[in-house]
Amino acid sequence: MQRTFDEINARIKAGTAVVITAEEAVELVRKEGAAAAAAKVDVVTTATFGPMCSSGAVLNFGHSDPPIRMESITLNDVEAYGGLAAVDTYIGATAESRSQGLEYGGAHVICDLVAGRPVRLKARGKGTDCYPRQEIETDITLADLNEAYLFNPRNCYQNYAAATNTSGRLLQTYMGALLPGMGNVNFSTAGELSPLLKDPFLRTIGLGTRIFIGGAVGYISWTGTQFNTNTERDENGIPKTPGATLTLIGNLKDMRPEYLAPAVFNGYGTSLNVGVGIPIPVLDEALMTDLGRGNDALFTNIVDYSVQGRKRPVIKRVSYAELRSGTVEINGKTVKTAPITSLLKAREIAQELKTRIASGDFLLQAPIEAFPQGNAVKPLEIKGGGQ
Amino acid sequence: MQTKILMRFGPDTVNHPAVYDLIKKYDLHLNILKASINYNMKGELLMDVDGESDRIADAMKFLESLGIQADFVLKSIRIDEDKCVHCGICTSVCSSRALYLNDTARLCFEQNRCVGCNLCIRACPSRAVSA
Repeated sequence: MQRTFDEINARIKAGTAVVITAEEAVELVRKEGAAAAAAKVDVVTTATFGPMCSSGAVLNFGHSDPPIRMESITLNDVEAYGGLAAVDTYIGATAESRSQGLEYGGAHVICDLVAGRPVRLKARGKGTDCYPRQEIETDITLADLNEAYLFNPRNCYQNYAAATNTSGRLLQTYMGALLPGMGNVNFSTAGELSPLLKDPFLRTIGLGTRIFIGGAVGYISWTGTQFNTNTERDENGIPKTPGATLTLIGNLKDMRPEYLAPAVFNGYGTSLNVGVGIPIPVLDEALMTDLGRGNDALFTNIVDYSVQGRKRPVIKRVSYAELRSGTVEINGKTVKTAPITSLLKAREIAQELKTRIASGDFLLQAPIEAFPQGNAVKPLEIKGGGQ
Repeated sequence: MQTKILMRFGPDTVNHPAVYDLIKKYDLHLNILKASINYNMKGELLMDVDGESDRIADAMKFLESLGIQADFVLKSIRIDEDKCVHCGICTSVCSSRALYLNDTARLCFEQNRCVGCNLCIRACPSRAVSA
């Protein structure tokens, strides 16, 4: 059985495409096998909703009269980048407010804009013949902006490691509070719904793939940073350690607050919960086998965050079914597990994307270019007498 | 009257058998909900307390005279449904399992299991939990 993107899109346009979520695909493959499931189903929707720190938004404010070239910029007292031309900026999710610290950051600014709330813009420039104004202070809303798009350099990590803490002190991390003496295990990846676990070799996910992001239609615009397709893989081809990542783009003006939310991690900082859905076309039975792999057949490592180095030791390899069950056994000790990403929201996204595709208003885009295999991640070595 | 009291001990008071005094001298019925002591010899004790209200008031003064910080835990937590994204991270610090994800992955709160430790308030990245 073979299908092409074009054939699937023709069926979507005709309203005859069969679309199911990744959880439904797991169930179907378990009952009927991959061959029968592949024959029945055209598209499987995957989704995730969780904190993705490497996120932010590009904004264009429009020109005031007289105009200013903004060199230092704050939005609700959060610094935005002032090194672009005139009235463009990039606001990163993890930038923290000068007055409120980590309780309000770039993620909050982005979400305030999406919610339609006014945001205070303050900017300075040196003043030039072409941009004479030196200071500006005003309220802006999302509707006032010329362009506003989310541009996230690293989202959707393929198989992020779970975290625990073997030390005697509480650790406050982007994986949440890690209690001393291996008091808990927190995990991030959405398991059987997670996009990059369901197409592990990125056969259908590449440059230009149309996706759901924050409630809007968006695109994969590049590999993510720290893109790693050189990881060791298990017998099913799933990377054993964090693998591929994606750069995502989408129009902020079409996004909705229920799929984009700020997050604050004590002792760490601000992050942005991003809701992402990626449709995977069932091109053949092999892909359906990948799509049908359940939490019991998907594994990740629990790593020890108390080791403050680049390489953290692996404590145990566990399945997502174990992580989802609420407890895992480590060296005879029962340890509580908790997700830091929302399965409820991921399910809502997978369902909404399924509905949109089935109703014909979301077509699949075949990758314009495939992402490279065998791409390794380089560390930062300290050179030139630095420290 | 019935109430909840959170006692905090420093290194100089951690060896005093304060619970014994509360029972013997003030006739209080105590149910210990949570007890901990860390490597800095600082301890915390959360208890359900049942007794005559004037005896409880006297007991609080007594604890203060010993240098033990004792506070009533008055309210339970509240969850702002508009802010909660049901990630479940709060469940990792909830030792009494008052907070849990149900079979549909929705966050649920069982008030009668809550021991009032309030760890979930700071743990919630959405700032959806308040006292």
